[in-house]
Amino acid sequence: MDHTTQLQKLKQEAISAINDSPNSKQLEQIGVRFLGRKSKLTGILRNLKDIDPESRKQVGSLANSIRQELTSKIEVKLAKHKLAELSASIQSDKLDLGLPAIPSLPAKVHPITTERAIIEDIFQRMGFTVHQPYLIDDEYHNFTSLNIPEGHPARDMWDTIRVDENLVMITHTSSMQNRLISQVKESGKPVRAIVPGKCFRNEATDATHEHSFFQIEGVYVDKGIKLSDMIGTLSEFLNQYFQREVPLKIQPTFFPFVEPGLEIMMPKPGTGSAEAEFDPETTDWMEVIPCGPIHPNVLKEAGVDPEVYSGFAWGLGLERLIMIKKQINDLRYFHSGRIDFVNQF
Amino acid sequence: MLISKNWLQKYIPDFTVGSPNTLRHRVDTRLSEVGQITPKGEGLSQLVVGRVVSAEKHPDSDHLHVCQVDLGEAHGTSQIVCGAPNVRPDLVSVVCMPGGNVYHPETGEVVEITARQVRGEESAGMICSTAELGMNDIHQTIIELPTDSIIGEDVSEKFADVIIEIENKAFPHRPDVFSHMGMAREFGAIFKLDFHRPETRLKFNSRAESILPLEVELRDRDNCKRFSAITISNAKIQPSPLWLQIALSYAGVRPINNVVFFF
Repeated sequence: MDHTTQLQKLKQEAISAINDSPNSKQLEQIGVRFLGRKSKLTGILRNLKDIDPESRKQVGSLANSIRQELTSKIEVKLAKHKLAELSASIQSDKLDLGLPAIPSLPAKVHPITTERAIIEDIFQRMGFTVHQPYLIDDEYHNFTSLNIPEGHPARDMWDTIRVDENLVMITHTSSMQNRLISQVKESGKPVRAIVPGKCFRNEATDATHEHSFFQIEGVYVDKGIKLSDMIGTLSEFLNQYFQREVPLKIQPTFFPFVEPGLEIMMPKPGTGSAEAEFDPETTDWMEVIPCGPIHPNVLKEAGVDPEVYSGFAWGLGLERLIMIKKQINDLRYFHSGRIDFVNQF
Repeated sequence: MLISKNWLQKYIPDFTVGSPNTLRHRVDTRLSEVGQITPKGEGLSQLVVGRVVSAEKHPDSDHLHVCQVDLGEAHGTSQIVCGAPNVRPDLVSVVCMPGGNVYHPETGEVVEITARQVRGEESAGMICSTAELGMNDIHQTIIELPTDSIIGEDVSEKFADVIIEIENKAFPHRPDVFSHMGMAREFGAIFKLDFHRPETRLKFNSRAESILPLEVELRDRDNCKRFSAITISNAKIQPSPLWLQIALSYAGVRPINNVVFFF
């Protein structure tokens, strides 16, 4: 076969392939097959010197014109393919760019944070200042100054976590009492303070016990403070916190730093509605606020004369109070680190 | 703490339990939480002091004894089969007569004792364990009374009492209340009752002429400022009297003997 016939045949083959190409990718491969480095057409153009001089010019010019024609046909067909492919993908993706983005939830505040703020606010409105405890403190502040002497069996009431020779992780926010009451002597003014803070005990954890938990301490020292002042202050606090009149009962208990030691009790929340009908005959009571008039030894140790000054103190469990208000049945949720818990508030 | 109404009445004779709810409320708010208030001795009847005259091995069993028990003039001598390891001649114990009631040692229910045959031998009644009398959980052995107990005496009424459980966590700093006398003083204040302190002075019939046979050496005068010592001779170790065994058991204490527990 002579070159001219060969070239015509190649041209028909190529045009046919180009027209039959199903997509842009296949077309690009066809382009390589017919116009690439290893294609027959390129081979002929390279080896023109091997052809006799009379037909060389003719073959060369035909080959070049075929090449130009194929290149432009490929270009056109490729453009057609690409356009068709683009509209197909627009149809199939159905991506509506006009819609708003998938919402990412803003962070939720942990109930300990919100409820603590509510409680601080209630007491601040009553004239109490808010203080932070040292989470690690010395034995004097955590025990000795609170009428809990070294070597005394009363120390066994707390499963203390020791840090060093003389340092402990605070077992109660009462560790700040000595410092706060000392201000009375220095300033001559009464002290009214609350201390929200984290406390630590070597406890086995269960539905009502944790090793790390929050307390809110309260101290009020002035001249002429009476037991009725304490009951009035704390019952008003409970009414404000629960946003209703909370029935109360008071029962004796024991702590070395108050005398008498008392527990303020409220009715156990019933199943179902948060405010069950209160019936004094059948109600089940639970402790909420351990409290009491400050023991004279604690006042004396803080430099205050118990014959002149008196006061009261309390230490309520924050998680416990929240569990009552929000009907949470397991204390361990609070410090579990579970986002699905926090998201419910 | 398990507080006995009978024991309190030794100091506050006018004390009555009354309505449990009232008592509970009064004591809850002034001292500490009141737990269970339990009547004791209800349903017991026909319990008589008896003395084992003889205890022969049962012909048909290796752990049973056929006993002849003297139940005093009114009831005479009865044959009773007993399986307790401590039954023996001259033992004084509490016998439940046929038709009388005791507590089932496991369920605590009131059960009637009847005259019956035990492996072919007649048994007219039962020698009681402390569990069957409602005193504690021990029912493998029978109760032992001092030898000078009144044989034939009906003691069913001695078990009647009311036990008031008081939570003592609330007053570790009140050692004055850690006794029935102290609790009676506290209840006297709570319920406005007269408190009578019984005479506790010992009366000595005679004094020993010679020096005490006991020598005491005080080695640390700084930590021991004072001691007192007494020797008692011719003491015969016996079980405590029944009323004291009952009082101790109801308070949750196991009676030992008359030397360990003085009253």
